[in-house]
Amino acid sequence: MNLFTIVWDGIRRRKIRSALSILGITIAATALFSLIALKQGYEQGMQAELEKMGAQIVAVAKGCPYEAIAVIMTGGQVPATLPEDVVEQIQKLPNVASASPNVYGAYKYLNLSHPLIGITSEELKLKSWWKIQGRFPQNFGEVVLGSVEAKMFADKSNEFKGIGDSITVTVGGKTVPLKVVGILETTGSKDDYSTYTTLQTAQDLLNLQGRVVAVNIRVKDIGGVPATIEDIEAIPDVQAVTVAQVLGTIRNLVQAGQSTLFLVLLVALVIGGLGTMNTMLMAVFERTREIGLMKAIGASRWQIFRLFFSEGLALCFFGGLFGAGIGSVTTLMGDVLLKQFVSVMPTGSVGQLSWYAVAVSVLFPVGVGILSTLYPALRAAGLNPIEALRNE
Amino acid sequence: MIHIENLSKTYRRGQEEVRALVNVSLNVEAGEFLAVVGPSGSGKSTLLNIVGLLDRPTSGRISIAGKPCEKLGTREAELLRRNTIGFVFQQFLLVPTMTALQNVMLPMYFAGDPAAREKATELLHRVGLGNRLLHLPSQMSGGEIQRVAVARALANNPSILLADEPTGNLDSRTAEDIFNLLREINQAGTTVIVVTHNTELAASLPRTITIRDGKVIADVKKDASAA
Repeated sequence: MNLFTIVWDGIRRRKIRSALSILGITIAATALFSLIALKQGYEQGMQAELEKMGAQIVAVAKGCPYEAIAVIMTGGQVPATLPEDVVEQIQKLPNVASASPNVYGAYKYLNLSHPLIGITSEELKLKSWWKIQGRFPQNFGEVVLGSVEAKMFADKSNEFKGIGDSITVTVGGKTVPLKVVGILETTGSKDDYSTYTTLQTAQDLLNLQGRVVAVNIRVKDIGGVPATIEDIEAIPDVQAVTVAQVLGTIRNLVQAGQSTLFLVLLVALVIGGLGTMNTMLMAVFERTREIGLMKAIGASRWQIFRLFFSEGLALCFFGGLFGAGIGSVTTLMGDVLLKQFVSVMPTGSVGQLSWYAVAVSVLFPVGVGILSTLYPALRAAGLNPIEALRNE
Repeated sequence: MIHIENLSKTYRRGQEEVRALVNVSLNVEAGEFLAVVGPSGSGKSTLLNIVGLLDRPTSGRISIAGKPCEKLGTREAELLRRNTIGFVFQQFLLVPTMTALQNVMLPMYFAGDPAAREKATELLHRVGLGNRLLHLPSQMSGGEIQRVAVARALANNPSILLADEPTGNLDSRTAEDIFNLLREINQAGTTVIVVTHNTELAASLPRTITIRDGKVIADVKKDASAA
C-alpha cells in the first residue's frame, strides 16, 4: 500500500467526475500544445522558404513591400510594377553580384489557377541548387514546370505526358499553348508548385511589356547590405527589403498572434483549474467522514493534505499528458487547419512535434493543478475529526 | 494508565452552551475491561473522544500512560493517538472500495510500517477472518465488518482500545460475538473501554461506569469472586 494506490482509489471512485475534470484540462493542454508546436514549425518553415528564394534583397515598386512579398509567396497579381531598365541600374551597383528580374502572374489550366513566373537565366545564379531536366526556356512560349505541377499535369492532362509536350492554357482571356522544355527536380519549396517561362513570355501574356514585378538581388558582401539598400532606394519609385527583415516581421506578427492566443489559453487553463478545484472540494465534502476516520486511525494533517493534493495534481498531470498526446495529432493535421486561416504559409508540413511543447502543455496544467488543489487539500487536512465523523 | 481529574468539557451549539462533561474524575488501570453506560446525550461519547485524544477538555486534567494530555499540541496528539489508541465505531467506517486486508493496513500505512501486509494478515486471522482477506465490505456481513474494524483498531498495537457503541448496528447474537472478541483482546493485555447502550452486555464486564448529564453517577466494579 502506498500513496499511489490510495490516490488511485480516490480517483476511481468518481470515474465520471474525474474524467470530466481531466477532460477540461486536456482540452486546454491540447490547444496549448498545438499552438506552440505549430508556431515553431511555422517559423522554421518560413525561414527555410525564404532562404530558398536565393536572394538576400528584393526590390519592388514603392508600396508595401511586405504585401508584395506576401502576394509573391501566394502567387497572386502584385499591384505595382517597375520599369525593366531598373534591373540594369541595380546590376551596376557596387555590392550587387546578381540582379534577377521576376514577373509574377497566373494562368488557368485544368480548371485551376497556377502561378506563372517569368525569369531570365540570371535567376539560375540565385537558385544555384536548381536541377532542370531538359533545358531552361529560351524561346517564346517555352516553360519549365515545377515537379509537383509536372506530376499533376501528367496524371490529369491528356495532352501532356513529358518533356516536349505542350499545355494549352488560358491567360488574360487568351488561350495559349505553352511548350514544356524542362522539369525542375524537387526542391521542397514553392518552386515545385510554379511554372517558369522567359521574361518576355510572361510580360507579353500578362500585359506587362517592359515591366518587372520584382528584382531578386544577391550581394557580394552581406555586410554591405544596408548601404546597397540605400543605393537601390535612391532609384526613383523603388523600395527594397531584405529577406531577413521579412522574416523578422513575420516573426513579430506570429509572436503577437501567439501571445494573444496564449492569453486566451491561459484563461482556459484557469477555468480548467477552477473546475479541478471544484471537483476536489466536492471530493473533500463527500469524504468528510472518511477523513475523520483516517485522522482517528492515525493519519496526520500532513498525510491527509498530501493525499488530496496528490489526487488533484494527478488529475491535472494526466490532463496535460493526454492534451500533449492529442495535441500531437492535431499538430500533424495543423497544416490543413492553418491553411484555412493563414494566407502566407511555407510549403511542406508545418506540424512539428517538439519536446518544448510537451513540457509546456504538461507543466502549465500541473502549475494550475498545484494552485487549485491547495485550498481543498488544506481544508481536508484542517477538518476537526470529531465533527467530521459526525457528518452524514 | 488513564488518569482523569476534574475534567470538564463545554461547547457551543449555536447560541446554546452545552456542558457535556462536568468535573469528571476517574482512573483506569492498565489491562482493565470496562463499560461506560448512560442515556443519549449524557456525555459518554464526549468522554471517549477526550480519552482518545480526538478532543481536548475545557478544563481539568487527563494523563495517559503517565503523560499529561490536556494541553497536547495537534501533532503530539496525532502521534500519541497513532501509537497508543485504537478506535472502533458504531458505523464501522471501513473504506468501501478497499478490501479487508487493505482496510487493516491503512493505519499502518499512516504510521509508515513496512511490515503492514504481514501484520494485517495476522490480525485478520486473529479475529477469525482469515478467509475474508480480499473481500470488500459489501461482500461481508455486519458482524464480519465490525471484526475487520476491530482488527484495524489493533493495527498499530495500541495499549488502549476504545469502542463507541460497537454493537449498535448489530443483532444480539452478533453483538455478543463482538463483545467476546473484545474480551479476548482484553485478556491479551489491552485496556478496553466500551461505550454502550446495551446494559445487558455491559453487565457482563468487570466494571461499569454510569454517566448522566455529564457527571459520573456510578462506578461499579464487580467482585473478582462474583465474576
